[in-house]
Amino acid sequence: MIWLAVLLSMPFVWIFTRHDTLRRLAGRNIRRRPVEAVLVVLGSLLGTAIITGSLVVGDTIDRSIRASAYDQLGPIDETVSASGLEAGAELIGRFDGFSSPDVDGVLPFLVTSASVVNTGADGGTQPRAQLLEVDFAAARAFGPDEEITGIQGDSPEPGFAAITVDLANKLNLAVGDDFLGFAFGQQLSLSVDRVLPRTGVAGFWGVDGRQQSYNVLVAPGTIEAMIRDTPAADAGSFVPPAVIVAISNVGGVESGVGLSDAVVATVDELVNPLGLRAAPTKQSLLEIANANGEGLSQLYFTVGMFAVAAGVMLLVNIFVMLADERRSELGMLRAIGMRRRPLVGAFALEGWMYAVVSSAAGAIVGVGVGRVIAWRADSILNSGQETAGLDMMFTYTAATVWTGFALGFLISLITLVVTSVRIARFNVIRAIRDIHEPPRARPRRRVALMGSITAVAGVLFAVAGFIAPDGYGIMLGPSLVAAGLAPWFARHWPATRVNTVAATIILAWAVVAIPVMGALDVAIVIPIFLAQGLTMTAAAITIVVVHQDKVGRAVARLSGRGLPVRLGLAYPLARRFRTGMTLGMFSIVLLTLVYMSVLSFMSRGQSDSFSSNLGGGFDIVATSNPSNPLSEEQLAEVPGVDAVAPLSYVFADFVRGDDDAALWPVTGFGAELLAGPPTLVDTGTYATNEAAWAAVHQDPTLVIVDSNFLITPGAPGSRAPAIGDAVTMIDPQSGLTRELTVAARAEQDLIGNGAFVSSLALQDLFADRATPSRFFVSSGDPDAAVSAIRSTYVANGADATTVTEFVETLLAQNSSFFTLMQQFVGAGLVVGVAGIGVIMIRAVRERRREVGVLRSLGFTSAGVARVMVFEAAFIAIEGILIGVAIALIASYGFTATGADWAEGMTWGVPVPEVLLIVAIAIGATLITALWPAHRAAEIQPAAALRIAD
Amino acid sequence: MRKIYRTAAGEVEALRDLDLTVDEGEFVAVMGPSGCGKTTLLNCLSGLDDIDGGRVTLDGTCLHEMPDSERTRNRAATMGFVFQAFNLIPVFTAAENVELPLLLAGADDRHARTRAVETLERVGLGHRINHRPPELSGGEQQRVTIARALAGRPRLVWADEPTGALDSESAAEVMDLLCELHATGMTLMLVTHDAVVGDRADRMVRMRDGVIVADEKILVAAGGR
Ligand SMILES: Nc1ncnc2c1ncn2[C@@H]1O[C@H](COP(=O)(O)OP(=O)(O)O)[C@@H](O)[C@H]1O
Ligand SMILES: [Mg+2]
Repeated sequence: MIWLAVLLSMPFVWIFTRHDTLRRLAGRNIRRRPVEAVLVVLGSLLGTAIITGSLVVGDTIDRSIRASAYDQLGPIDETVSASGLEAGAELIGRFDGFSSPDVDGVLPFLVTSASVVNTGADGGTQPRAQLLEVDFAAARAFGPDEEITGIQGDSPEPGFAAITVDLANKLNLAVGDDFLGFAFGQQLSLSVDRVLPRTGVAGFWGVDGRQQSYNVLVAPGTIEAMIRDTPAADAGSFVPPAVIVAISNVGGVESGVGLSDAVVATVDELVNPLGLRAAPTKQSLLEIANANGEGLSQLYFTVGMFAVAAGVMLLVNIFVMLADERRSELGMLRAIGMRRRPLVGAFALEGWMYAVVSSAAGAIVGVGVGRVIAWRADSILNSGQETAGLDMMFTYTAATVWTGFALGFLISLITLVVTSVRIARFNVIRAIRDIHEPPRARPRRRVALMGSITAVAGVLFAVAGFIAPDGYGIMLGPSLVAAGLAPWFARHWPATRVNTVAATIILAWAVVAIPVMGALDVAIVIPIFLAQGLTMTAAAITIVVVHQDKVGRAVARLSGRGLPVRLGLAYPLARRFRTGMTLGMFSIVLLTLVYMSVLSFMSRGQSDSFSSNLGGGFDIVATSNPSNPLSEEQLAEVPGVDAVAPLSYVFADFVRGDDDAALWPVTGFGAELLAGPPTLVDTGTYATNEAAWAAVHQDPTLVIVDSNFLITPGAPGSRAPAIGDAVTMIDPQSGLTRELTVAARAEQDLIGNGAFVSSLALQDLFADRATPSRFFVSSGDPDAAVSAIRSTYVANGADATTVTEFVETLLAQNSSFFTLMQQFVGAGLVVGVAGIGVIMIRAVRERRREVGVLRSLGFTSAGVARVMVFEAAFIAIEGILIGVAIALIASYGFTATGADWAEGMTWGVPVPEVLLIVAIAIGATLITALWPAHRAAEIQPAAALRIAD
Repeated sequence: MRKIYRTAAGEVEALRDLDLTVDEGEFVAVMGPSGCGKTTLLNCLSGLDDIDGGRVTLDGTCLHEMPDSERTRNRAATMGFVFQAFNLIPVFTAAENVELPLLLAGADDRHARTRAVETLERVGLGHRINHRPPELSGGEQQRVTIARALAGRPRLVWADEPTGALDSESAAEVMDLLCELHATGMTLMLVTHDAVVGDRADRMVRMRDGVIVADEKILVAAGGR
């Protein structure tokens, strides 16, 4: 990329170094109008900054993914786990004398979930923590590099513990502090003797999918002693500890992953006889993280591109204005015998200098933009209670900054080259007399030919799109056909009518294409919306520009035909290309802002129905430490608790069709839930909600899933299994499978239930790991019950949250995510408004003499200012209205897709919010227009009229 | 009246204690070499530009003591301008350009359009009403400017080298037009360095280095008219 930029710059550098006159001509033009030069640079700087910002966010996401997979797992490539100490001993025994050329280390350790409390004054509670027992000497020798094991020193003495930095931070613990750990009904008093990083063995975290590890590394034998002390009667009422054998592949942290398949096969032979299997832990984590990361990156890229599109239009506009402004000057020079090439060279050189400076500055500013976005995204992504978050670790590489620079630079250069060619084509006389090229009555044959080629390509693209099926083909193919045929038709029919019809067809198809894709079951990736938005904007702008004179007349009539109005309309009507670009700039930004705001509104609007559907007859979700779970009776004793439904809760691998296995939560429910089960959105073949739940409770081969089941967040496109579909549930530990059939569709899972099966089905596969530690609780006063549960059962790691809070937090998170996106696009609004400012300032320059004439005719200076403001407002408002209209139509089309991810959304418009966006856009435009207007008003007529050219 | 231009390169005394009285209905030609201050004189007299000393009175009121807005209104009501560079609004048609002063003076749309068309017909451009300035020849553009200066029926017309950019034939046509106007009672002050043009005026003011060096009435007999 950067080399392409350098290559394209060569001619400019050549001119720069070899042609003193041209360099001086270009340099003087810049120096003559420093303010405008700065504005040109600022405008194009924003475009590059947004591009670079998106790329930096990509880097950050990428880095965060690596952090989750590589840093946290360190030398651990595969794991085998066994439930309970006996099975664990057997497992460890299997590895006696094990050796493989692909493996450079095997390390057994023991983990169990625990809750941890710092009883000090500024302490806290961590209900979901983990006790980890490992021989520190062995752990340090595990894998290629001691550093990445995270382990330091020798195993802790009894009564001491090494804790991970996450836990230290969460509970305010430092070396020397005392704290309590709870598991198996026992209490453990421990003293912190060191704090370890979240890396390798020390950072190993199997409790949930979050990127924390609240680990307490204790002296060998501690866990066994706790279990030994547990009354025999309680055995079986908790989830036993797991023995994990970690395997390190030969090679580094990253390269070792490549051997995973081979190592899994080797180890499987070893452990399969025990009913266990090896899991490619690092590989799976990487896959999940990549999928998550890709969804996010796509989202940022798409949203960023809207802002970039605005930036590109600004760039084009700026260079076209520059060319227009130089026309008569260039024409004059041509007339006195200057050759075409050096002239265009001087113009291009000036632009090239702007491009170099603005792209360089933009790339640097872009890093800051990326920093802000990554920081905001991190706080939003980690504000919810979901169990799989991605910690944003801000980072960027020099390559990214270069690429951002090169992209911005290339876009500027391409615009520059195109405008230069336009300049080179100027008819000298027209240029001198400043006649704008009249629109051709009929397109040239050449244009018609190119159109036909486009149309043929469009047909092929569309056909391929429908056959594949592929969203881009379906969306863009037919539009290309319409656009390509327009010039041909325009040779025979009036161009205005042909263009209107073609643009209308394109506009309509862009709206309809999304529901069509939904109906055809096409995966709708997010960038499709970029294609949709750009197509619709282009089509709508074409329609408006073609009919600009009618719009102008209507506005003039409405506003009483005042002279300022007529003057204010004159230039936008006469300079249609520029007007179109400015309109595009505004509408693309408003389109995105309003679209986001509508989506956000629709998702917020679902709150109440979500809460009542998800909770059913219950109000609270209570969780406890699986190795020290609460009992149903204990919960029922809490004041204010009316009913309790115990739930088994595990993570299982699910496979559907040919897809890869995905780790997903699954909840096993008993008869207690049937008292008030969650409300299903589709009961399938069952007559009532209750009947469906009862059937699944009775039949261990049935499962209830929601519309997000097995779908990667941020990537709407894949569909959840439909009712009647088969899915396979796999125990990740043993590899045993169960075939399940989807019986009904639950409400969108915002509280992490995952799939629902009967608790019998779960216990059948997961045995004692399916011991209930999670509960649905109903209460007349949920908030009071929640705090009572939390405070009463600290030792059990009890935590409780009302369903409403779950839903509200998650929806708030969604909505702040939309807000974040809006802020990202907001940069585009800055581009749009700054663009108007730049354009107005240049317009004032261009029209100095006309202003002088008006003033000599008796036009007041206030009147001149009013004309300028009116002109800016007219273009801005027109663009804004187009953008808002497209957003409303497109979002309506979106809800009509019938896709799973639009399920349950009813189209609605947050009128106050949309009005606020519109008001901000108009207000910002007016404020920006004030200064140029003021400058226009200040023009001295006598001086302005003296300008001889 | 005195006028000084202040620039980075130093001060230029463009008008030095210049004194001139023009009666209503006169046709004054101002002549002199380039750079002697003719344009400056016109701009200062019409109130387009500020002055650095002295006063300009019009019907007994002091032009430069008025606030800018009132001066502007006064311009719209009583004056018309014709410049050397034709100074039309390029995105407006001929008719729209001519309408401007009428609309500024508060005429309604239809009336303004009728008057504009009438005036354009009078200057011989009835067939170019909907053309934009760049599509017109120099002489035609200047006639549009004159039409614009006339449309508002001003009492006073300032013309700064109106024929400077025209060939002799077009120049003669333009001069005929201006003389016709003067004949209707309009006061006309015209800057030129063309003696042929100057000869058609009632009175000739010669300038050099910012001062008037000669001021003579041209007798009707002298021109034989
Ligand atoms: N804006 C200005 N700044 C400085 N000097 C000026 C300016 N305008 C005119 N002059 C100078 O004032 C003098 C008179 O100019 P002008 O009235 O345009 O002359 P004329 O119209 O007689 O050719 C000239 O010497 C000119 O250089
Ligand atoms: Mg002059």
